[in-house]
Formats: sequence, C-alpha cells, structure tokens
Amino acid sequence: MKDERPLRFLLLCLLGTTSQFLAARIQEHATKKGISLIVEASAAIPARHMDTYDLILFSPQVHHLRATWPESGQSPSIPILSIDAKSFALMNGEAILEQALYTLSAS
Amino acid sequence: MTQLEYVEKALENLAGESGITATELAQHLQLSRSSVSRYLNALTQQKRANKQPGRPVRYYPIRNFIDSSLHKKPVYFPHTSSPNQPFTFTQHESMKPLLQEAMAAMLYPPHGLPILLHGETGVGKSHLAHTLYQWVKETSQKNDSFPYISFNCAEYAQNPDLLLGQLFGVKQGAYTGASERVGLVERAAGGVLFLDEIHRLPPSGQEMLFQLLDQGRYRRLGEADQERSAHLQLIGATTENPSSVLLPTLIRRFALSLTLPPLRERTPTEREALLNLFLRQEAKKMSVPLVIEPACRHAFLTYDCIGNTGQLQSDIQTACARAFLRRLHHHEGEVTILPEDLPPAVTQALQSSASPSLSLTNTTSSPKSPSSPTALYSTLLRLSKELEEKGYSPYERIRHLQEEVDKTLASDHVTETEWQGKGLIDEELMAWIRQSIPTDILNSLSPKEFISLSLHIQALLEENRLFVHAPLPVSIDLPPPVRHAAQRLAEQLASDHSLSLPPGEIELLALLLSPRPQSEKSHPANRHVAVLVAAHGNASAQSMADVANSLLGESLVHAVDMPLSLSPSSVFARIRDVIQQIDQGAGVLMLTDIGSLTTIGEAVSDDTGILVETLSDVSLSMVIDAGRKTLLPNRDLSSLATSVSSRRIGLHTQSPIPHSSTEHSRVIATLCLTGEGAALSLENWIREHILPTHPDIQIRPVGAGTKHEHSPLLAHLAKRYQLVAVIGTVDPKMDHVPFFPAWELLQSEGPARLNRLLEASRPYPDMNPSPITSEEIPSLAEEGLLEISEFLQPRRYCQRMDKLMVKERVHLGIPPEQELGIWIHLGLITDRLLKERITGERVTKPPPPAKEGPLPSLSIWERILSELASTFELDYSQGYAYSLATLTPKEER
Repeated sequence: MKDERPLRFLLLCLLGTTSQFLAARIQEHATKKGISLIVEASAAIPARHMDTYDLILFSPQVHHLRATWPESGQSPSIPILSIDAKSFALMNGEAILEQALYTLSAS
Repeated sequence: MTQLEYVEKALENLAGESGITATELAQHLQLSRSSVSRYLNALTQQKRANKQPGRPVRYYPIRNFIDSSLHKKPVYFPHTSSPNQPFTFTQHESMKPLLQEAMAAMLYPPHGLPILLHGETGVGKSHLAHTLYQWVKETSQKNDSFPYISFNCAEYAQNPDLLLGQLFGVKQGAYTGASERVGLVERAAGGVLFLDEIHRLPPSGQEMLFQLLDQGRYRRLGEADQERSAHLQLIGATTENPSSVLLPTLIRRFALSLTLPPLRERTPTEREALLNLFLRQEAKKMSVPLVIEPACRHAFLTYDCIGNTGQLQSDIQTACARAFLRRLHHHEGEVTILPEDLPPAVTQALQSSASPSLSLTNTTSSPKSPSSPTALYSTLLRLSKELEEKGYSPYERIRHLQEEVDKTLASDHVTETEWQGKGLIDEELMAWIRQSIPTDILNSLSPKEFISLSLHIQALLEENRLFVHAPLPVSIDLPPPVRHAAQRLAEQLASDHSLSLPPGEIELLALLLSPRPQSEKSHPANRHVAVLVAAHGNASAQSMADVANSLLGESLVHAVDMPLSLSPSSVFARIRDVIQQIDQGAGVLMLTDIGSLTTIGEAVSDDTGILVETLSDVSLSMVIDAGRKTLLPNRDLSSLATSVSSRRIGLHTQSPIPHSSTEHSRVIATLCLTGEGAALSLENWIREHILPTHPDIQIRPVGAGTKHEHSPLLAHLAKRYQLVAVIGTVDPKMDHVPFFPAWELLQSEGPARLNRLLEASRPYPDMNPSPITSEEIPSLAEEGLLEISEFLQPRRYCQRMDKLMVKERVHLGIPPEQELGIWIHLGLITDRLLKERITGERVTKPPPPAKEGPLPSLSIWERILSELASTFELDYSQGYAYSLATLTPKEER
C-alpha cells in the first residue's frame, strides 16, 4: 500500500439532489472510521474522467441505467455498486459505506 | 387433558341426538362462548366433531356419528372370483371349519338348511350371512329371483304385532285401519331371509317361523282362510345363548348352529388379516394410497377391542377419516394414519407399548435353540418379509431384525463370562472372532451383541454345511464398514475353518455386526455431560476438582493440571486424551482459567467429534455449580454451559467466550511462545485499538511452542474461522495468513497496515438485502425524508403520494425499489422548492425537455406533479416530469 491518496466514490441519482445528501452521510461515517474518502454526487449523466473514481454507486431510482452506463463496458476496472433501496431510503450512510468497502475489497 | 380434549369430552357427554350449540356448551363449561366456539371449530376441522350448519350451528361428537352410520350400512366385501376361495376369511384358521359347514348347509337342496349364528356383538354375524348369500349366488349362478332380505327383529321388539306384520304381512282390515301388506317372508321367497336378533321375536312369532321352516307355510296377519307358501333359506343370528332365549322347537329346526369366536379368541394372524382388509377397503373408498404408521398398526393389532370386528372396523374408519381430513388440508399424496388419529381406546394400546414387540405373529413356535442357524435364518427371513409387507422402512426392518437376533440368541442379563461358564461358547472361538473383527466395530458391539455374533458363528461351525438361501432382503442400509468387516470375517472363516458362506449368510453377519441404535450404553437418560477443569499451575485444577467432588459426594469433575513447563502441544494432547476418556456421549464442559486454553476446546471438538463448550475464568464456585448441574436430568451441554455462565454474571465483567461463532467470523490470533505472556498483552492492546470499529472480530491467544513446531491450534483457527491475521512475537509462517510482528504495531504507523487489512476483509453487511414491497414504501420514505428534509412535512407528502401512486403504480410498472428511490427524489425536490419559496434560495432546475421521441410515462408524471403542486401550492418545472419520464420509458405491456 504505497499510495495514500484518498478513495473516491461517485454517487449517482436522477438529478444529483438526493445523492448529495447521501454522499454527505457516507463521508461523515468514513471520517468517523478514519477512512480517507471523497464522495461526489452527480446526476446520472455520463461524464468524463470517470476513471478517477474507485467506485460508482447507483441509487435505486437510476439502478436500471447501470446496464446502459457507458463506463460499465469500457472500464471494467471501476467497480459498480447498486445501493439497496432500504439503506437509500433511510439515508443510512453507514450501511452503504460498508457495502461500498466490501465491494471494493471483493473486486 | 388439554382444553381441546376437555371441550371434546364435554361435547361427547352433553350433545344428545340433536347436538349442542356453542352457547349451551359454554354455559356448561363456564367458559366464554367465543373460546368454546373456537375449540369446536378446531374439533370439526380435525374431524373430531361434526357441525350442522344453521342458526345456531349445532355440534355433534364424531364418534356417535360414525358408530350409528356404520351399523345400518352394509359392509361391502369384495369377493374373489375363484369359487374355491369365496371369502377373505377362508384364510382364517379359526373360521375355516365353520365356513365349510355353513357352505354345505347353504347348498343343501332344494333351498338350503336353516342356519343359526351365535356370537358376541360385532363378531361379524350379519357380515357372514351376507357373504354366504353372495357366495351361493355366485356359485349357483342365481339370478335376480334370488333375493336377500335382512331384518333386525329388535327394531319392532316393543310392538310384537307390528313386528309380526312386518315379517309375515298383513291382511286388509286385520286391525283397525290395516291395509293389505306384503311381509318380508314373502319377499324373501326363493332366496335368503336373514333375521338378526332373532331372540327378540315373541313366542308366537317363533311358532310361526317354525311353521314356515317346517312346512313352508305361513299366514298373513288376520288371514284365516288362506294359507300361503314360501320356500326360503333362513339365517338367524343372536347374541344370546340360543337354548335359553329360543323355543326348543325352533332351535331344533335350525340344522346348523354356529358360534362365531370373538376377536380376542382369534389368532393374531387373523386379526392382522382383518386389519389389512379393512385398511384396503378404506383405501379403496378414498381412492388414495393409505399408509399406516407401524406404531398405529401395532396399536390396532393389540388394543382391547370390546366390540369385536365391528368395533375394529369402526375404529379404523375413524382413524382413516381423521387422517383423510388432514391430508385434505395439507395436500399430501397419500393418507397417513398417525397416532393422533386413533380413537381413545386404540390410543391406550399405543401408549402401553411404546415400541412394538415384534414377537412373531405366527403361531408356529419361534426357534429358541441357538444351535440352529438355519432356523434363525428362516425366522429372520420370514420376519423381514412380514415387516416389509407391513410397510416398515428398511431401517426399521434392520432394527427389528437385530432385536430378534439379540432376543433369540442371547437372553437378557447374561454376561460374556456366564456364557463361557456355562460352556455354551468356546473360549478359543471367541478370541478368534475378536481378532477377526476390526477394533472399532468390535467396540461398537455390546457384550450381549458380541455373544449373539459368537453364538451364531459357533452354530455355523457346528452344523458345518452349506446353506442355500436367498439373500436377506434388508441389505440396503447397512453401512459399508460393517459390510466390509462381514466380508472379511467370512474370508477368515473360509481360511481358518474352511467354511465358505453364501452371500445371504454374509449379509446376516453384517447385520449382526452393525451397530444397534438405542443400545443401553448410549441411552440418553444414562448420559451426563462431563465436566473438566483445566488450569495452569501444578495443582490448582486438581485441587478445585477435589473440593467440588468431595462436596458433591461423587466424582463428577475431572481435572487437568498444566505446569508452565509443559509445551502447548503437549497440553493440547493431554486435554484431548482426557476429554476422550471422560466423554459419555453428551459432551464435555471445559472450565479454564486463561489464555490459549479457550481455543483448545474447539480444536479438540473438531479433532474428535466430541462436543466441547468452554467457559473461562474458572472459580471454585463455578466448578461446584457445574458439577451439581450435570446431575440434573435433561441437561444438555449447551444449556448447562449457558446456565453455569449466567450464574457468574455480575461477578465477572468479562463476557463469556462466544461459542456461537459462525464459520465466517473473523479471528485474529495473538501468538507468543507460551500463549500466556505476550499473546495476552497483545490481546488487550487489540481489544482497545481495533475492536471499536470491528466489533465482529474475535481475538484468540495461542501458544506457539518452543521448537517452532506446527501449532495445532492455529491450524484449527485457520480451518474453522476466517483467520485474518496472526500477531505476535514468533512468525508461525502460515500460508495465506499475514503475520504482523508485535513490534510493528507499536510503531506510530503500525496499526495502519492492520487497519487496511481489516477493512478489506470486512464482511459484507447484508449480502441479500430483503426485497421491499409497495406497502413498505410510504413508511420507509417518510423515515428517510425526516432525515434529510428541512421544510417538507414528510407524513403529509407520503400520504399524498400514497394516494396518487396506488392509482398510477400499475401504469408505471416499476419495481418497488426504484419507486422508493423516486419517492425520496420527489420528496427532496418538493423540500427544495418549499425552501426556495420560504427563504428565496434558488434551486437549480433541470433543463427543459429536449425533443427526444415519445415518452409514454410523461403524462403520468405530469399528472402526479400537478397533484403535488396543488397540494403544496408549488410550481414544479416541466423538466422534473421529463427527467422522471426518462427513468421509466417503457410502459406498454
């Protein structure tokens, strides 16, 4: 583990509004655990520089876009996580952070 | 008696002909009407009561119902086509002479001879009469002019005139208002008249009957001038002694008087045949395969059946009806009669003999002489066939065969030495057998079972001839090691005693060698959990055990002392040996002081298959408590462990060692030479620094031993758990498990590597989040929005949305998960718009729709947004509906 750069997550929802809140929650729990992490929120519109992220998270309302997401085909190196609906609805940043860390460790 | 049985009993006692209502029953029982009603419904469902719909509903006990319906119903009895075997009960030895006589009487020309049947109620008198009639009809090819008239004289016994009128007919005007009537005698002419309870005929009637039998002449009631003639075959039946209830003249007219034996006097085989017959009949009626539990079958065969065959049949029908009803509820492929279906009288037999004693049901004497293997063999073969016919499973068959072998060969309470003392078994032969059987199989045999085997082999050798047998039909389930041992034993017999056995005999040997379930030694009631104290020091464990044992007055607690000089692996070996010695089959409770001992219990358990539970921080009071509690009945290991450890809560702050760890539990092993020094301080350090963020991790201190030998405990941990890291002073050099030297952790950046490792190995919190349903959406969304919204009142929003979505959901056709996401999304947007209106803070609106083809769901979202807009007096820009519509583009279905 030579690079100590923080982890970067991209959290997607419809307009980037809800995901902003959720991103803040996740960030909060990461800080609590001493994990250096940056979570960004965005509308589910394909953007450039996707490859700078370690993980892309999909909110349940845009979950189905995952299949058509251009990055999923091109950059298999970026793992993708679908947030489970219950954790999303309850804005459970801690649970989602655990899911995310697990996805990272498993990929 | 359960409440249900209580109500059932009351129903049986209180419900008369007209039944009883729930209210009436509730008053009698001083219970609430609603609960009585519930019980009655349960009884009805279980076919233990009948209900007659109406207002109010009336309930009837089921037994009355079946009994009364049965006596009136003629029993259908399938006849066989062969005239030589006309009745099913020709197979019945005790009935055979009776039947032969009856058949002769029936066929006696020209109309047969009158027969009088005598026997207790329910022995089958009317059944026999009808069967005889059927048989005559078959054999002599009679046509419709061969009637069968059955009449129960008890029916009109209160009114002799009416009875005689019924029987012989009435002339018009014989008495006031009498109209011309044909009697049964007339209708039965040329055929068979069966008079049940014939002794209820008044003397005058008996005289008239005598006339009929004697001369074939009779008169209708009131007829003086005209004599009629009728020729018929009379069969009379009575439960009373004929000579004391019938006129001597009439008795004399019966050419044949037969006494039918009651059920209790008939042989077990006959009773079994009857049972099988009735079961087949029921199965045929239900047109569903019928299965009966062996225990139930046994109960039917043995219970005290006062009402004889009739009662037996009725009880079988009751059981079948209950079983059938249950099948209707459970949709099983077949009807299975279970103990709970049996009527009370039968159930008693069930309880009085928990395990069916399979004394051979045949009357032929079972071979008592152990010197005849041929006899034993044929006994077993026959028994096996019987069991198979009775529907026993292969496993049960083996068990019963073993029982039979043990019973036949070795009587109870005979020890090996006694046998030898009696000179029944050659000592040399026993020694030879002992050598020829693998040790583990030999050990699994009780002395008695071993004697069975020895006797059998001895008998084989004495007879010393070849047998020709079909293979035992039970071989399927014997375990391979046993078969192998039997094969080997047979080979040894061939080489040492020049006796070669046919396959059937080898199978039998295997049967004798296979372990018997529920042998005395493993009987659960005799087994106790063993208690072991293991502690460091030269004598502390032993002295605690000594004190406890002397206080308890029994040697219940065992001890292993562990001087510090002992290496960890010899500690492990020592404890393993002791545990193997003291285990009685119920497991071992190990009480330890500190350190690596906690893991040893698990390792031993994995190694030996013996259940071991470990409690740490042993104290004298704990030892005494544990010892005392093992004496209590029905103490299993885990409940004992829980009970002993719960007692010390409050005394010790440290929680008991978690023994319910799953295979996925993460474990860190701390390692030092002894497992008691650095490993313990490392444990404490990790507990403080790591665990708060990883509460699932367990820490196990382990001793490595001096010679860097392979630690059995580490191997155990690696095998059983997810061993994420070993931290310690010596590197165990394990593949796949990273090692952290103790000094590294104490450096400033030391914990970082461990932390990263722990993060990476973190188990996924919920691999399969349970799917949500549409019904859950409102409450979940409300809870979530409470977290994030500032101006929105989530409840109001969710109630509004719920009303809207109930209508629109079908049109959208999206999964609940996605819908929930959209609820949150829209809720938050509403919240932002409210905020904008109140505080003036601008919200970035989505871009206006680009023209991108039709979006079928756009109108739906526009509808929803306009509803929300009017509720909250807001203006949603069109972009919102558009973006939502892009999410749910496909709708047509």
